[in-house]
Amino acid sequence: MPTNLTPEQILALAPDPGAASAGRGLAQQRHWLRLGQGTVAIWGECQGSGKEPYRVQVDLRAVLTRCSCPSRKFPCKHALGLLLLAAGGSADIPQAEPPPWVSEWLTKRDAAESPAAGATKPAKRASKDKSAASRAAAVAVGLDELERWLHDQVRQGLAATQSRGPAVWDAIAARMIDAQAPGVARMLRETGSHAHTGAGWQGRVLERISRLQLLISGYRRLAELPEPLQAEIRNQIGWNQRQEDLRDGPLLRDHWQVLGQYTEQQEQLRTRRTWLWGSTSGRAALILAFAPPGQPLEQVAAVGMLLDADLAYFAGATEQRALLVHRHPAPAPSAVPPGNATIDAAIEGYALALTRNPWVERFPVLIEQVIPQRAGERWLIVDRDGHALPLAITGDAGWQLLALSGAQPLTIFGEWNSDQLLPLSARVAGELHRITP
Amino acid sequence: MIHDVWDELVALATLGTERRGFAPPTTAGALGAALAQLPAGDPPAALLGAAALVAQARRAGAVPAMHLAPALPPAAPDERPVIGSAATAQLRTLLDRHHRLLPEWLAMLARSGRRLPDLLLPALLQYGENHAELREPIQAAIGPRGHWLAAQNPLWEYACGLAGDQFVDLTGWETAPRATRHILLTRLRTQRPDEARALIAAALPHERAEERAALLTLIAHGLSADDEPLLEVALADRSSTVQRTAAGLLTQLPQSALVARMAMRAQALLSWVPPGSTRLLGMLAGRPAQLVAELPVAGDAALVRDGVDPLPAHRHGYGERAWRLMQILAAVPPTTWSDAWHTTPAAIIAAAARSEWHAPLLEGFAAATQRHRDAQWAAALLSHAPDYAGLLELLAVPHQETLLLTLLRGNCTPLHEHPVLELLRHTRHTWSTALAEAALRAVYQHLRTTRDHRDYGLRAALIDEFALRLPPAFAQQIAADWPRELHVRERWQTPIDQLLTTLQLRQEMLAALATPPVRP
Repeated sequence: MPTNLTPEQILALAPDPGAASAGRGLAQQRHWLRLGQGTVAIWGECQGSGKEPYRVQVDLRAVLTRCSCPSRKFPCKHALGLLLLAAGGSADIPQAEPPPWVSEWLTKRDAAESPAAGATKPAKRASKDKSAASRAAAVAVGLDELERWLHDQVRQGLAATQSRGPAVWDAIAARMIDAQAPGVARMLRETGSHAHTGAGWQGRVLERISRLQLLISGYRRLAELPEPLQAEIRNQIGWNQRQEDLRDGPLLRDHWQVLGQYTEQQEQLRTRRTWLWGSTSGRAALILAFAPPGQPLEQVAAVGMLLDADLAYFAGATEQRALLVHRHPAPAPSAVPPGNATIDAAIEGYALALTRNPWVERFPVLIEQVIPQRAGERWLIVDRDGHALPLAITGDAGWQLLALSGAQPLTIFGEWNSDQLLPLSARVAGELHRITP
Repeated sequence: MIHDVWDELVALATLGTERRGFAPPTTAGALGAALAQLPAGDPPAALLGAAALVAQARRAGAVPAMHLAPALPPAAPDERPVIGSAATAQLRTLLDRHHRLLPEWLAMLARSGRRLPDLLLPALLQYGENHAELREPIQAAIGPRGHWLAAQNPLWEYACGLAGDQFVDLTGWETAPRATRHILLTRLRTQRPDEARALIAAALPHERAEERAALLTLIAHGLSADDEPLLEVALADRSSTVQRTAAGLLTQLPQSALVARMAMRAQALLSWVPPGSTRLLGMLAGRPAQLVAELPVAGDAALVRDGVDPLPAHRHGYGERAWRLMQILAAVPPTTWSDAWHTTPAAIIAAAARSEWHAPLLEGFAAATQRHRDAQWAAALLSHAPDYAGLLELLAVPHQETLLLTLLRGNCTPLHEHPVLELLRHTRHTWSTALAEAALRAVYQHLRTTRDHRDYGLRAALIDEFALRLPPAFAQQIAADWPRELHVRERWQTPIDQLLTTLQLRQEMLAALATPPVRP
């Protein structure tokens, strides 16, 4: 199975330009020993600065790489070099049976991706129930406290809150961490960050605290609410859904187009959002990867790739986040998913999602036939009806979009947050281009 | 109306319900009905409840704005096939960190008949924004889409490929920022030079010295004899920077009065004594030709006005008067001498080398040769002393190769002390096979026999210039042939590896641009 990644997509996997450049340098046959490829993997040994050559392997189904080098970059330059060598087409990589160090790793990975073996022991389950009950109680107490705090702010006026500085938001957020409601804590910090952002901050803060109030009220009447909304409220408060449970639940197999990717640094945590779009189902799915600073982020896939995979959606009012449960060998390129014909249609989809889930933060939109334009320092897209959406980008990405379009319509994919669209990719003449905001 | 309701809620929340109290707002429709159902009584709870409803309604009901500005005219189509993914990935790497390979890559692209991927145009245009030396090849490479894009960004003006007769709009140019003014004037200067000169002349009296010099520099675009009067006036400027800018431009006009004045001064200082002449030292027959030089007097104000720096920061060990001689000679077209003395540049240079004042004479001739781009004098100077590496570019490429091959045929070790190395470093073309082989032979010879640890000049040359000028196909040969004796490897493994990596990168660049694009 050859890699169907282009050299550009491979370089896009690189954790930084240094690794990309070093990887390029290693994409020459003279650096490699005992190269081989099988049905799902390629491997080789790369002579590095150490005594023993590094053993480098790539699981092509997932573009997951492993290397025996001590680098903390992921994928490391050796893995990038091997991928580039294979993609270049000039290298001679013989078909072979994988050596033990490759086949063992593949077997282990298969086992890790297959449904968890054996049910949880009943004794453990009981203790889990007990701790779940105590957490529910802690959250309830914490949210009561938060409500009193919010009401105090509104009673005294948000102007008074602002004059006390940003620390007040951090303090109440810390209380919510103690109350085991990390999602609420995050929302509070985010709200606090808007309290000192200049004109219009009052509206931004009020909107967010009213959404928190909605969450508090919802949690109080949790039992009366429909199942998906219950799950959504628990998600927002910060309960994690168990991945084992998701794997055992219903799966959706589709050919998923990777339409966008964005890595964000927030509060000592890097988050990578990868957006997939099902070719048949027409559904969007969001795969999240987290890593503390200095730790590698799992690279699910590169923008422009097509995955044949089973996904499990996390329960929620708008099913959006998903877990990638199992990948099948990469499929042949298939039809590109259709998007919305107009900005109106895309916004309508967002409004519909809001009616089911008032806490929707980012909504994936795919809009066809829009023209990027520049208005002073701001960028927008304009559709065929003359409707415009502002873009959440500055110079570089704006010029990229303008260059791709040449004042001709293109298809855009991005995250809409009710104020601005963050464009993540654009399709021109059937070809998907990653935009780097 | 929903916005009024929201603004009212925000105002209340900002001031606090304590002060103002709270009554749920009333409005029509479904939102009004929902608001009416909110429990009254607890003002903060009621306010937050109402805010949640209204905020949600606002988000869900938001209507995209109409955009009324006229659309841009679409870019002209480009039918050429786009370069492949491998070539695209390479260009990204070049823009990222291998900048010095860009000129060759752009030249290869021009030959390939392909176009750049649109997505990379901004990065390339931005690169040209900061690196003026690559603007020309960039402007040639970006195609109609790139020209269209450049026209949308004032910083990329250099690349928008304006037709020569395009109208230059000068509205408000007097109040425009300096950078914009310079761009406008440059454009105007290439189309209607007289008009641009008049604008500059009118602006000069009102500007500070720095800007006066900058405005004069713009005259260099399309410099002609018509510009002389303005530049002559500027020679009397109170700022020495402006004076020297004007003088520098005037020396580029061989017919200018300034050049004539300089030639006159020089002719008064130099005299030619043909071979065998007995005028001075009659006793000795068969004496070679002599170039007799006198030094100019110090403190000549007219000389300073003509752009000679009286007290230079670096006099290269010259005395003040020798320095002045050198400066005067540098302004005089070298053909003046061969014409006046009816002899060849080679004979003049040989005589100059024998003179007591050989250093200022030769350096002055070399500077004049460079300034007036005289290939004949360049050849003569280089054959006499290959140290004036800067003159190499004045020779045609075949002539450069012959010169270098001749020099390499002698014994060049230690290479780092031989002037041929500096000349090789000054070449700008891909070497012929013969030159590449000769240069490599000299390098291998040096590696084997020289243990002078001060030969870092050669290391730098291998990494910086050999890597760019050797034909890329030499990579395999070098990898196989370079001397691997232990003492050589210890010192040279790293630079040779770097050289090979660059050569291979160039080989891949060629291959990637040569093969048709393959889409997976």
